Amino acid sequence: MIFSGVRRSIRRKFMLVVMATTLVALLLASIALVTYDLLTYKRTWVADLSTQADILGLASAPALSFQDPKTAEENLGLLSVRPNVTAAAIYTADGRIFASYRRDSSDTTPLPAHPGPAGHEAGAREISLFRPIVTPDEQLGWVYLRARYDLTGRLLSYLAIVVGVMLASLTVAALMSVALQASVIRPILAIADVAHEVKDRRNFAARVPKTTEDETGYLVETFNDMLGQVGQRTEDLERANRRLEQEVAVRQSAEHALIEADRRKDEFLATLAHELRNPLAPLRNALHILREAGPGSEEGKVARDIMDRQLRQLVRLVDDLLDVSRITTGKVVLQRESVPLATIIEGALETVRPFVGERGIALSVTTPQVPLMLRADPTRMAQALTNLLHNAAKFTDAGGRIELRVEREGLDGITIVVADTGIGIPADMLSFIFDMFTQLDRSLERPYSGLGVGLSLAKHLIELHGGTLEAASEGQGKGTRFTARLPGIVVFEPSPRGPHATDGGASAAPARRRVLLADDNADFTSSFALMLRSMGHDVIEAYDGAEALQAARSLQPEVAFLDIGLPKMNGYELARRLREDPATRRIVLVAVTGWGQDGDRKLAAEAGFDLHLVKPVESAQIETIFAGLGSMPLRPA
Amino acid sequence: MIRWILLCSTLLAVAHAPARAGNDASDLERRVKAAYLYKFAGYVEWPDSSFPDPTTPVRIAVLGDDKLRAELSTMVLGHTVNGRAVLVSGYSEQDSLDGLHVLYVGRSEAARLAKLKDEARKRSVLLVSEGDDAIDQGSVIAFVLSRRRVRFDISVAGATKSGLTLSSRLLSVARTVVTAGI
Repeated sequence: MIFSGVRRSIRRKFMLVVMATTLVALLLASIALVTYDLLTYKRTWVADLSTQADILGLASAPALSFQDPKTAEENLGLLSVRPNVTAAAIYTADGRIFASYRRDSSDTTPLPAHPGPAGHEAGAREISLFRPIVTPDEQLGWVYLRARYDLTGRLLSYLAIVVGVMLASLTVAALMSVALQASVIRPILAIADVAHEVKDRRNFAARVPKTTEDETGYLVETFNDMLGQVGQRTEDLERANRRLEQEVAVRQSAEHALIEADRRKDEFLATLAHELRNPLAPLRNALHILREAGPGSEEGKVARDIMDRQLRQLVRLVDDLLDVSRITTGKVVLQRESVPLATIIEGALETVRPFVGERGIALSVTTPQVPLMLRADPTRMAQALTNLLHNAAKFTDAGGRIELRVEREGLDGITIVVADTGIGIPADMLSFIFDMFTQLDRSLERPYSGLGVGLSLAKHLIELHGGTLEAASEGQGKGTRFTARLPGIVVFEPSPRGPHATDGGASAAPARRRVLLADDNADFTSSFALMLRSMGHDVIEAYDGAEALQAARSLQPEVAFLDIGLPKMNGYELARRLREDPATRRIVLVAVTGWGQDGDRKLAAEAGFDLHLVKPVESAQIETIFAGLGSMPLRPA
Repeated sequence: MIRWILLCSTLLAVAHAPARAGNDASDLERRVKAAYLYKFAGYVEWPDSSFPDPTTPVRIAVLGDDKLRAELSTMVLGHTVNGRAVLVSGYSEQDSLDGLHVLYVGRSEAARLAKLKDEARKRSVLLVSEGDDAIDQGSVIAFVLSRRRVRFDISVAGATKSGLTLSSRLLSVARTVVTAGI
């Protein structure tokens, strides 16, 4: 591990510093001490020997004086207490040996034959000296001393001592350095630990515990700060990277989508040119026939029919284009109102029937027994249905069948199914068929393939109504089934107990109704009243709100067409009053106004209106309303 | 022994020598005694009154041995004891002991020892004589012959009674040191 190498290295260096310092200091001190000692050793030794000799001389003076060598020998014998003195002698004044001493009897080193001169002589291993024996009056003789002068031995013993002291000192120093390491090295090792942790695991949250207040402590603090900053920056960088990656991914998918859309648009343009051009040839031909044969002739009639069909085809194309443009720019706004389901279905069938008939396809329609009132935009809903039926007809060959079936779903929903026996859709294409400008079959045999917007439009329109559209096919040649589910779209529950219930469908003959008509525009009132009467209804006219309220109370109409901008009492107020009064509560209230915005419809609904018509009112709308009255719920009395 | 004789004769050329056979022997003996006699002075401490002056010489008188006196007179020429000159004189019965430091009484005059003793002690004179009985007769130091060599006995009591202090170093080379006695 690198880490332990660092640890060992610092420890070793620290130890080395301590040991080297100790060693050098000890060496220098030892050298100084030994040098001094060796210098003084000789001087001291000589002085010591001289003193010894003088004492011996003094003690032996009487022996010399009175010729008593025995006493002198005895005196010399005392030297046995000085082990370093190996030999000694006393000489008489005229140079004869008077007494002698040898520490070791086997020592055969000869004594000097003649004394003097006074002084010492130091050899490598021994030192010898002569001292005169002097009384104040005369010199009696000489003392000779010979002693071991073991400089090498002394040096060696010093060396031994120094080595011993050094070993002891180094041991103590090593122990002390180990103890001191704790305070000096441990923080550094802690930094190394954390650095290791950061390097290996990129853990920038790691921190070094601060234990000292010295430079190491400062280092720890700075290191921690640095870690924090590096960690912060790394995190920022990674975050920025992630954001960039996401952006790149988003951009790439957007680019793909753009490329795809561009491709489809190119296809669409090609198709559009083709489709727009298709009707032009028959039109020109028909025009030619008309010019040649004249409008009254049999050929002229055929030509007119051709022109009619082709023009309708062109109009549909242009309408679809406009719708595509609106949908792509989000400008389609539903004009929702209460409308009988039968009206919508009839509208759709009316558009597609000629085309279906031309192609020799059987079309069957199944609707619920009970007529339903829907809250829907009749035009858009019919358009969606038309597109589905048209699509079915286009891809079904002659002799095939198309089935349109509407069923109740849940409390207030319906399901519309358009199924055909046509060419079907491959399973892998099912998810794409609702995409704008998608066309599965571009074969020339299918001259009515269209722009590829019909299904997409249908899906959009149904979704705008809060519903869903799905396609299903068991495969190529096995037909296709489109299922539109529209929850929450039924506004009027069928009421079998209702007094005016009819068991007829949308095609049932309208009943005779009592109708209140209130509008301050006399021309409108009169023309509207004329139209209602022509339909066989009883009409009460009123020209302001108060009058209308009174008439409603007294005459108890079944239906009231009320203007909103009425004098004296506006339409909303009037509706509210009528709803409050139990006598008039059950009247079906229809707002007739020049304002058709969603906000206006909302206000009307809140005031109590059942329906909302925008001027000018067409007779078909009135008929639809009266046709749907049978399914109107009874308002609680 | 010959070695000893040779050694001593050369070593102590004129001063001293162990005894020898015949007349020569007494000459040598006399010379040794003379040398010892003046060397004793170096180990004796007299009362201050004995040396009124720093230049006062050490006076040695010899009684009853003229040869020795002559020997000594020659020997002390040019020598000092404790830095003092040494004067040698003869002694006769009528002479006073005043100013004397050492009095040697030869064997021929030994009978007068007892008479001289008191006077010597009174004046702090070191009384030296010879013979084994000399100490008993009041001598402080007495020459004796021991194994044919000139040795001496010392009476510390006699010295004390004479007001003299003898160096212990002198005692260390004496044959016998008598501490009790007259």
